[in-house]
Formats: sequence, structure tokens, C-alpha cells
Amino acid sequence: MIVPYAHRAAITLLETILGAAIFAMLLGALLGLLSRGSSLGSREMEIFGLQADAQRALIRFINELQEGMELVAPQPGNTLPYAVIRDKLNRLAVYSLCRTEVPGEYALKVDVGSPQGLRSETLFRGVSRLTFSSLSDGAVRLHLILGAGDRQHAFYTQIRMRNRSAASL
Amino acid sequence: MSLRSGFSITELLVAAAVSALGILPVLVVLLSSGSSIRQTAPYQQAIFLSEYSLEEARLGAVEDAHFVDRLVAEGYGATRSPLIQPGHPFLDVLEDSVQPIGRMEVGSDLSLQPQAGPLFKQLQPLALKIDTSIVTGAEAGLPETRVVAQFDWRDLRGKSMVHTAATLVMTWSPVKRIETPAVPLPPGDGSKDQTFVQLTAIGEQGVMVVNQVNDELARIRKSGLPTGAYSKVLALTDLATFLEARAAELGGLVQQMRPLVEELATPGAGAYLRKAAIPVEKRKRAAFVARSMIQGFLGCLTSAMSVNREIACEPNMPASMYLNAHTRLLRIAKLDSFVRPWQDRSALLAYLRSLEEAYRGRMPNVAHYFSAEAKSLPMLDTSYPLIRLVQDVRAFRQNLTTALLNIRRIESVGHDGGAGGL
Repeated sequence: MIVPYAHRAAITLLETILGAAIFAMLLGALLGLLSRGSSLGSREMEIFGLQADAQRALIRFINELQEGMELVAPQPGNTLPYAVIRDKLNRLAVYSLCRTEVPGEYALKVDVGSPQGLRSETLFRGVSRLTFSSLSDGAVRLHLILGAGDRQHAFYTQIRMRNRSAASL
Repeated sequence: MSLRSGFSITELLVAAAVSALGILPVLVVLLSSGSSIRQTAPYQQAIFLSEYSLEEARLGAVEDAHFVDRLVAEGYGATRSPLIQPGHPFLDVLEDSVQPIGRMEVGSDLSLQPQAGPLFKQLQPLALKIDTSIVTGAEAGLPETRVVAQFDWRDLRGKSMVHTAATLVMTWSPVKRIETPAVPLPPGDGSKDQTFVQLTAIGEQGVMVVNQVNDELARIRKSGLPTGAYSKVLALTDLATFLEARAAELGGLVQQMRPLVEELATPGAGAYLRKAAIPVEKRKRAAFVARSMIQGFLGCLTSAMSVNREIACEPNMPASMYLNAHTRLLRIAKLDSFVRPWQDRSALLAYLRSLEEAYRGRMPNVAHYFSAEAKSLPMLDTSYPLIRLVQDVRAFRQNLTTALLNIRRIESVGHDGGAGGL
């Protein structure tokens, strides 16, 4: 027996299933969009984070290099994965990469030798490649790649040693 | 409706639509924030590369006296072009990646091509144009060059974006000047015997400088140079600088003595000096100091060249030591080639070519400097900035023999044998 719509107390099972299916499809589509949006967002945020981290670390790193007096290595015309700088206090500072617990990821560290001993410090992590090149005895070029896979961010810049004349060469 | 205990399908659909309306703005915000982050990537690259280009300009101005010519006359980067365009002078070589190791060669080593990895991809949107203009500097009105690096790219919406950075660099004269300080002359009455007195006074100052040089060389001969290679080169650098400075001092004195020597070389000078009855010892002394001046000047130039050559031959020194020695040697050799009676610049040209080759792929600014110097060598006679000094030295040498003969002629009896010319 068919009950007139106006007198029905609730929806039928068929209607419920149909409604649920439509709702699920709608919700699925929305969730798909939402998850894609959020994954894109999180990826972008990750890249942005990499950029921001790199920028902060690079600024500090660049400031340290800028205050150097002499580029000991690499010599002009060479490219090396490390750099040796005579810093403003006439100490030798070695910038090099060391492995981290993440495969393929490196951290940039600096070892500064002075009469008080050797001081080591990690400047930043997340490096996948870093080279130091030189086409002048007073400047060093950095080619830095941060991140891994398709989330890499590359930088190329040159840092001039502003205390070069203090080296009295 | 009041009899219903559940939702109708219409209500469910309306609720879903309302929920979707609530979620959509969140989604839009998330997506747009992602695109904003993507927008900042080229901007950040432009900032780093601006720093790179300005540092390159400042470095170039220090290392290459012809750097501004390179920017202006050779049109370096003056045309707007994409960075990844083959042959773009900016970032033409990134790393020393292939043999020979130790030279970053344009065309063979890693450049801004797909092999550069993510850097190539990230710099793809950027184009660069470098503008230069000569301005008068704030300090002492010296000319400076304003270098403006302008990076542009299109953002995700196709909108044109620009990042501009500028710096001022010194515009050097083609050759650093060897300073020739002016020495005050003793007051004179314009007569030839007074000229003789002035010549002796300036000459005495010259002899003091020559003695200073001889004392220093004797001290080094006695004590020897430090044994450590680095300390030895530092000591030699000091000596080269010292010799060049003394050559400059003597050059200045020669310039001042030139009109006096010319005057004493005139035909009537001998007769006039005879009348003045100047004692023979004084005349001997005048002849001696005049000769010492020019000999000391030329001796300092020769010794300075020799010391700089010795520095350049010392192995395993910092690059700047070689560069400074080569630059000093070139500066002195140019002056030397002018003031010697013989002017054979083929050796100087060969030297410049060898320097250009030595610095190619190592210090491109320096290689360009020596290359430009080699190219301008045939025009040196018309462009040499110390031409006045050269003319004075030449005139001094030409007139010295006659002037010394005139001084000797006034001797009554004795032969001091001190009137030999140069």
C-alpha cells in the first residue's frame, strides 16, 4: 500500500539510501577538493618553509662570509663542496656538509679553529647539494639546493669579502 | 510536517549545499595561499641575483680598471634578455665541472642550462637588463658609475613583475697614478747661479732618497729575507712598494729639476756660471746629485720590477699576492718603457698576453683587465696618464749632458771627471 507523501512519518529506506549516496558523492567530491587543496597548500607551505628557512640561514651564513678577510679555498677557477675562509678575527673557518639521519639530506656546518680550540656549529639542515666556486680571490659563489625530490629549491649568489683589504695582501 | 521523525531528501541536499558553501571559501583561501607562495619564488630569486649582480659590479670595479668600459662600451647585459638564453653574459659559468679542473671556462663548464637542475627551472621566468650611467660622486666629485640591474618576470596571472637594484662603483682611470709629490723650491732670484743653487738643493733631496734606498737594500742584504715562503713574499711586497714609492718621489724631483737643467744647458749658461765663480767642490756636488737623481729613479724602477717578478715566481701563494705583483709590475714596466731611450714594447705585450691567459677562467675581471691593457698598448703613447712625467724625464735626460758640460767648463784647472752624461 502506498502511503500518501503528506501522511508519511519518515522517509523510506530507498530514499534514505539514495539520499545517502548522493550526499556521499557530494561529500566525496568536496573532500577530494579539500584534501587536494590542503595537500597543495601543505606542499606550498613546505616549499615556503624551505624558502624562509633558507633565507634566514643564508642571510646569517652570507653575513659571516661577508665579514671574511680572505678566501683560502676554493682557489679562483675551482669548485669545491667546502670553503675555507679567514674570518675577521684571523681564524680559519671551514664550511662543509655533513650527513644527517635523513638519507640524501645534509647539514651545513662550520668549524672554526682558534687558539681556544675548535668550535663546530650547524648552520642549517635540509641541504641536498652545495658547492662553493670562485672567480676572484675576494668573493665566493654559492650554488645551494635545499629540499629533495620535486620539492627542491635552488639558489645561486655571490658573496664578496668586505674585509679583504684588511688581509694586507 | 509535524508527524515526521527524520529529514527529507530536500533537507539533506540543502544541508549539503550549505556545507559546500562553507567549505568552498576555505578551499579558495588554501589554493590562493599556495599560488601566492609560488608567486614569491621568482621574486626571491630576483633578490638573490640582484645581490649577485651588484657584488659582481663592485668586484669588477676593484679588479678591472676597464670594467666600466666593459659595461658601457661592450654593452654587457645592456639588452634585456632571458637569463637562460644561451650566451647570456650573466651567469655564463656556474661551476668548474669538467676538465681542465681549476678553470671555469665559458662554454664547457656548467652554465645556466637544463644540466643546472632546479636552478635552471627556477630562473627560467627571469629576464635581466643592466643599465649604466656615469654620475659625479659625492666624494671629491670623482666620477662614479651607477649600475642598475633590473630583473623582470611574469607572475601566474601573467602580470609583469619587476625587481630593480642599484649600486655606485668607482670609475677608475685606465692606469693607477704613481704619485709624484711636489717639493717646495728654495727661493731664487731667477739668475743662473741661483738656478745652480736650486738644482743642488733639489738634488740633495734626491740623494737623500737614493741613500734611503741603498740603506734599505744593504739592510736586506745583511739580514737576509725571512726563510718562510709566505713571510718572504710579504717582505718582498713591502720592498716592491717601497721601491715604487721612492721611484715616484725621485720622479717628482726630476720633474722639478727639469727647467733648471734646461736652463743650465743653454749656450750662455757656461759663460755665466764662469763669472759666478762657484767653487769647484760645489760644482762637483751639483753634477753628482743631478746624475744620482736620474740614476736613482731608473734604478728604483728596475729594482721594483725585479722584486715584483720574484714575487710572481714564488709558488703556492694566495692569488691576491700574484695579482698585486702583476699589477705593480705592469704599472712600472709601462713607465719604464717610456723613460728608457729604447722603446720596445713587444716584451710588455707578450707579458700582458701571458697574464691574460694565466687569469682566463680563474679571475675573468683580471683577465679582461690585462686583455684590455694589451689591446690599448699600441695607443699608449697618446693615452698614458703620466705623459707629463715622461716628457719631463726625457727632457731632463736630453739636457743633462749639456748642463753637466757647462758646469764642468767653468772649472778653472781641475778635472773632476764628474761631467759624464747619461
